[in-house]
Amino acid sequence: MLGLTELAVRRGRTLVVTALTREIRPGPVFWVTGPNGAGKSSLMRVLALLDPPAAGAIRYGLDPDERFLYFHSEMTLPASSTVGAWERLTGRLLSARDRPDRTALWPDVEPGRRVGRLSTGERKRLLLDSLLRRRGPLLLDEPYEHLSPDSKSALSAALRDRARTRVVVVATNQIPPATAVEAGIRLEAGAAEPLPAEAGS
Amino acid sequence: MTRRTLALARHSVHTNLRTPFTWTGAALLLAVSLLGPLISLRNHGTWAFDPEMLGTGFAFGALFVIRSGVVEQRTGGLQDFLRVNCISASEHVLAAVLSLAASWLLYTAFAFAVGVVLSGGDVGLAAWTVSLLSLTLGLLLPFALMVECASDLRTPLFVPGFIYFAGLFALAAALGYQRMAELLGLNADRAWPPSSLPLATRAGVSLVVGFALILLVTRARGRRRRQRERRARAAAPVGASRDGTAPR
Repeated sequence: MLGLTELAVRRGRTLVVTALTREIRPGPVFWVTGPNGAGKSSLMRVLALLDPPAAGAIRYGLDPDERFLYFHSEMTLPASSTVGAWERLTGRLLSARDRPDRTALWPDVEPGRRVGRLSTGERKRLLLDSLLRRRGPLLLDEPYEHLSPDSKSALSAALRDRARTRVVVVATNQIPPATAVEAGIRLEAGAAEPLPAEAGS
Repeated sequence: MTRRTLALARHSVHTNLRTPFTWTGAALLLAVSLLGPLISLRNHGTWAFDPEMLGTGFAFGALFVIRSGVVEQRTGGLQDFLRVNCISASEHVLAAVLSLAASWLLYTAFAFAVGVVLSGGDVGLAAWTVSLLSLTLGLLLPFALMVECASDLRTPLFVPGFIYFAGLFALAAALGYQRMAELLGLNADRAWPPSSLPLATRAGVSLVVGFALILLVTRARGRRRRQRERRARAAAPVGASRDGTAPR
């Protein structure tokens, strides 16, 4: 469960989200959309507790050993690292309750390949794979950017699956085609409007 | 120290070894150190090892080699990824300390190998020269990590290195060379190895105090986020499912 009460989010001196009250529960993926600069990323950083809210409260309903998992589109691996080294590190950072094997997002590249020689989409898939192997609710900021159609489908399937038991919040201004949006908000000019039931097609 | 800290430190060392900076630094050490014997060969017709040129090469090379890799992790967003999803900020910084220490030790070992080769197998001379250089470098390591944590400079040793040498010249001008050498512990004598103890002590104190300070500051800076997390968890309504599953 993720509860937001009268939440306000600031980006610099501008209030980009005001008086946002929602209770987000597992079930459907919760979408946060809106034009560039609407405050999606700022809101996600506040939900991930990286930045404090300007006002209001956030409530987490989590297992004691669980945490909200967070990803934003600008996250990447150092270019000098290799795919194999990242996979070894991922394996060692997982807990016993996490999923030890690769997800469908893992790119089909040889372990000795330098990260700097991968495409932006492949680099992103390495991080998303690492995140999806972990147990817990998800906060994803623009996870579909730079992904191929197949990878987008694989990600959507993984998110739908995770959303059945954990909260999944996805911020994007490009909801994949033919996605049934069952829950979410559209941010614009500081206001949060509930998303229509069928959007993004 | 956790298994995760060691794993991240190992990954950082692996990544650092593959950066162009590391190869540039190693090449600089080799090239400058080679100048001494080459000049001797040209001027006197004999191959003579020059510890001062090894020291100069060591200093120039260290400027590029010595780094923990946290700058790349921070600027690429990997630091946020790791700290939010995988490890604590303290574990992350401890991994950076280990990675930096590894770059120091590996660089010292490489310089020793270069010294042994260029001196024609004089292990004693190479060990003595490199140990003094390495201890001086150890003195500056915590400051290099502070620069990495506070700026996006990918060659962090430039800042403490410049300050150190500027201070060295200023002290020598103000107090005289002998007094400056005593103050900094640089008046070590190869004929009497315990004379390097003052320099070793200074390096040891700098390493322990400097790294402890960095860890404490990191912990203090992460306190606000930990408080926000505690508040968010504590505020969960009684009816909320603890494991996040949908209520029936």
